[in-house]
Amino acid sequence: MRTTKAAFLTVVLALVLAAPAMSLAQRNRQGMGRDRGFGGPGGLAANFEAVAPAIGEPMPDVVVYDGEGTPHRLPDLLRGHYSVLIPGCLT
Amino acid sequence: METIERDYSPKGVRFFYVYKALAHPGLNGYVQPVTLEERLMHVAEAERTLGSRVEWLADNMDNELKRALGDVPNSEFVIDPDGNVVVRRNWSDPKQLRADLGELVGIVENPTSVSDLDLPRPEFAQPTVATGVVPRVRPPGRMRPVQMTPTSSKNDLPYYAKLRVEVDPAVISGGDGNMYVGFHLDPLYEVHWNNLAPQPEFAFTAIPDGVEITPASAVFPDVEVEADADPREFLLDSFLMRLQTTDVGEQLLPPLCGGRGIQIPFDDLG
Repeated sequence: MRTTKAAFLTVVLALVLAAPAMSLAQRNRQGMGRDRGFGGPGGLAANFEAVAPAIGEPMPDVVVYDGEGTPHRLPDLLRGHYSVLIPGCLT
Repeated sequence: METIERDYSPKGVRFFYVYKALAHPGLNGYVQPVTLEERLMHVAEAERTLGSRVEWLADNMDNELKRALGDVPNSEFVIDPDGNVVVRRNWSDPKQLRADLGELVGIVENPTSVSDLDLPRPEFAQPTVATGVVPRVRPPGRMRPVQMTPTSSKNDLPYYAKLRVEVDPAVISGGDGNMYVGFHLDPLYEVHWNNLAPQPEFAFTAIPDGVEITPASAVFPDVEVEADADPREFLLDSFLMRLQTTDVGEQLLPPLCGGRGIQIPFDDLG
């Protein structure tokens, strides 16, 4: 176990106020408000319906990385076979 | 999901988990990765804790895939060989997924059950020093996370601790509210606070016109034990952002402050 060498930390609060501003923009576009929940108007489910690829549409052409850190275009990984894709995380 | 993978991989179906930004930062001690290298560390941690055979991919650090898939925490997609979506679900449903695959590539007569698999019991990273010795800060209400912009790390050291900042939703629309500032040790680095050294402090600098912060700097109080892994948290009494307009949708303000120390990009929906 290492001890943090940054025991005395002068913090860079590189606080980009654009972030909350953009969050609001997204909220407006996506219908998310203070009452954001999963279902119902303005909820995450509605956002999913509006944003996620529809049936018959291709998956987004974005770069993802394999476990070794090698970049791949997502569509390249999905062609030629049926695929199941599930986003997830540790929390 | 593991049983479905066992049954349908032989039929040519490929399964992918895509590691995305944390849905609930802080849960089980995990904090939001700052770099792709750290996200890949999370992938390795997920592989370790879940023991899954499913191949993991990682979203890029702009979280493009997460956003493009609607920002929901537990969706699932089935894609045909031409790369087009044939099933999409905003909440994963393994039973329905098995039925979907049965229609698409054929039913499995004797499906695998969970008891057939020797899956490990998830064991999350645990600190090896004291925890629970520093009282946690409880914001008065629901807070909104703020995106952080990383700057260069001194001596290229890893981001042992991550900065998390949240504000009262009223602040976003140009009002007054509380601000949460917290430093969370990253359990994947297995580090602890050395309380024989000075405690962390924060200082806002280059505060733009129209923004007031009280206090603008603070030092964390001394901690009795020599080492611990608890977050160092501050709840600022007042963070006031006076804007010329209430519509801040596309308004870009300059960075509030700068200097050296810890930086973290914070996912705005994380």
